[in-house]
Amino acid sequence: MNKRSRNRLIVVTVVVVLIIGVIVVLSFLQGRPSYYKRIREIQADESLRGVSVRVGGTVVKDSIERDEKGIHFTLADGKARLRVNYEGVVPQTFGADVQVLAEGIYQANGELDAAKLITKCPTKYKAKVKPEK
Amino acid sequence: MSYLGKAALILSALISIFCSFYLIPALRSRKPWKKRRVIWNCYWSLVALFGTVTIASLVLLAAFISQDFTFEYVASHSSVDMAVMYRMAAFWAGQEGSLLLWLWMIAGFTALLAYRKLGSVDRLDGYALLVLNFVQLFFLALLILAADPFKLTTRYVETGMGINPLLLHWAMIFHPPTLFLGYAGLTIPFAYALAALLAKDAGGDWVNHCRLWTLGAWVFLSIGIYLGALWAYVVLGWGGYWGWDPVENASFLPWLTGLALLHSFTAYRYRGSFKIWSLLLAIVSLFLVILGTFVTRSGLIESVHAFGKSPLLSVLFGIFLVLILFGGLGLVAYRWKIFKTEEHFESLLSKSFTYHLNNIVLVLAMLIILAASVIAPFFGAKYDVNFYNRLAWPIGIIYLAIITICPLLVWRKTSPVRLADRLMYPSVATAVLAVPLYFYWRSLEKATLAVNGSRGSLVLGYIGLLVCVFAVASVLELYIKWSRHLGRRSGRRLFSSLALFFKTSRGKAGGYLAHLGVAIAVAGLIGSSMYPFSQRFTIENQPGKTIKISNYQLKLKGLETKAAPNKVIYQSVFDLQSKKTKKSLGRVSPKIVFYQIQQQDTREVDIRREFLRDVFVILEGIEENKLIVNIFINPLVSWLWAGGIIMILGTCIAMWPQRRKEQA
Repeated sequence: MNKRSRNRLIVVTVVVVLIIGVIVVLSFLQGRPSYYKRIREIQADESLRGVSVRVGGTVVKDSIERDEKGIHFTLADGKARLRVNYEGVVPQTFGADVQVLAEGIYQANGELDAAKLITKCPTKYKAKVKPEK
Repeated sequence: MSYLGKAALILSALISIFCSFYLIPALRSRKPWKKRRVIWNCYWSLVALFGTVTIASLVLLAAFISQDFTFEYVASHSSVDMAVMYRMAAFWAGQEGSLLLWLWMIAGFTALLAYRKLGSVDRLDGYALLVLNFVQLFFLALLILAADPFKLTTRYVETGMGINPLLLHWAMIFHPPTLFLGYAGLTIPFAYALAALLAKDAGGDWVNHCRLWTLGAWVFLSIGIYLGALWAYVVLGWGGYWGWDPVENASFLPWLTGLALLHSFTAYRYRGSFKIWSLLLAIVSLFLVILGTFVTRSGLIESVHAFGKSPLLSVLFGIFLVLILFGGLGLVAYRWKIFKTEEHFESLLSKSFTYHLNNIVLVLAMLIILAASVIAPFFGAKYDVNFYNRLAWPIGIIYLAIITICPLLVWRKTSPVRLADRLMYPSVATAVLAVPLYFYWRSLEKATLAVNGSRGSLVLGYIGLLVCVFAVASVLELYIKWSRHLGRRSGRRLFSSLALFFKTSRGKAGGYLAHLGVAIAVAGLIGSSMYPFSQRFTIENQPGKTIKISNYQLKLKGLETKAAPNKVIYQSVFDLQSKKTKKSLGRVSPKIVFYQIQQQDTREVDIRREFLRDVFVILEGIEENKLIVNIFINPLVSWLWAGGIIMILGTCIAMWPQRRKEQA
């Protein structure tokens, strides 16, 4: 009964794959992935208010404030500046002059309420370069 | 000194090229015994190659130990204040060194294999070593052309720039090398798979040759991932252990296919089935290993691990990936007919079918994660933790159910009566524990909702925990059943029968233990990923001030400041008490440490581990006379760590060679 068994195997496999596949596809569609944008792009484009975006930039020195709500700082990308608020746990490598990716909703008041903060440092596992004196 | 290192690498490449040049015609010859001398020489050259690579590695290691900052790589990952142990571990702190370490391991495995096969003209071994040699050549090309560990610095830094202080932890000393042992080890089943294809040998020989290597590689991969998660939990201190970061996922992908490969090997050896599965999984596993490294190193995908871009590196990796995938898959397609299965599928109630489901689910999981973390970023899209978790929960629970039923089934066709008999005790156990489990799980949901709102699912989590209970009970039942069976035949009592079981059926005994570990770990995963919660507090920096969370309260005893070489430590000390009884449960002292050379501060969290949860405390900030503290309550996390160890232990037992007489 080789052929019949073979067919049964194929049918059951296809059913399993389809079930999981449907769950997966729905997840991908509902997933609301965030897209990467530059600061001046979101500041120029009205349609990006209230949307989940991912913005990169460098943390401006002396702009960092902490309180019970979390942390607040300014992100710089070229001349553009963006104020970011973040309530979660701050990554260990966060600090002034660090390159950061902030992901969250861009509010009507021009600030980004970040749900996620990723420090991005190309030389992350190298120490920061000592300034030449 | 650096010239010695560079020369050693170039010499290695030359040896590798010459070896291939002579080995290929020798293996293809119709009379390989006439080429015995040539093959013998080629194998010895592979041993010699390990020698030259070792020289190169020792040069770099010596540079680290002696703190030779003329090496740019050493200068950027080390500093004068580092202890010897960390100085040595800094070898693999960056790209060039870790590639060298990886090469050293592949060269070592290759040399060991070549040495043991000296004198043999077996085609399988020959082709496998040839493939391994080509892989080595690839790494040598990378190191010589695009990632030179022996580059001399253009700016001399007297003290060294230091290593990122986050890496100064025992888990980080072992995480990269164990991971690389896994990656390097997975080259071997790949080599033997290609060898079987090239030699047109569909018997189980190639599997027997590389089975233990594959098991070992997978164990090390598991340990490496485990240590990475542990480090993330304890050192990175964001309250969790797995962020579904693309690079974390990159190491997880070959783990999934490696697991499928191991089980396919079992079917191949015992039943002559899953042949094409085994070939494909062996090829895909190495492809994923190289892809994962490519993803990490090329900076193509932003991630906490990304090391930065180098175009030549990306090109070389890309070429290698294309060769592995299309070459491997092409060969499989070409030799498809030779590798037809020896046993055909008969019944759904069979081990064969559940092994089939096992592979399907693992490969699907791999494809999903691949799509979301490697492919999606090419389109600028990124999926967050919740996306992955919401898929991982149902798929993981279904998977646990599959692997729980599988050992209860027979290879071809299990009688439903027999199966029901085996399901009885675990079902009873689960039914009994279902009620207390429900109250426990409900209480966790309540606690979470009261604080942050919850991401978890009451229903799904409960079902998941029920499956975990069922899984644990069914493994225990299997042990009892087998011990009784052996006891009846040999007249022993239960405990000594169990020992006999572990002695004579290591594959089964170890395998069941591994499944037990997985069940416990899954319970830990469910608890800690569905219902953790956290709260941030600001308290005045005065002894006696109290923070209240869940059933606990933390009473501040004080803030101490200490100085150490390169560091200033700000340590807060809390007395952790039960909120109801006010009894002290111990001290909790999270710190902020400022590193002077690196100009960086880190937070050292403190964790109070209990059986059912962790109390995880972070000192986030010190402002004027206030302390900002973030506290996480993570349910069942310790079960994850314990379950993982049990799983690894079980796999090691399954690997442990025993005398020929194996019970089928």
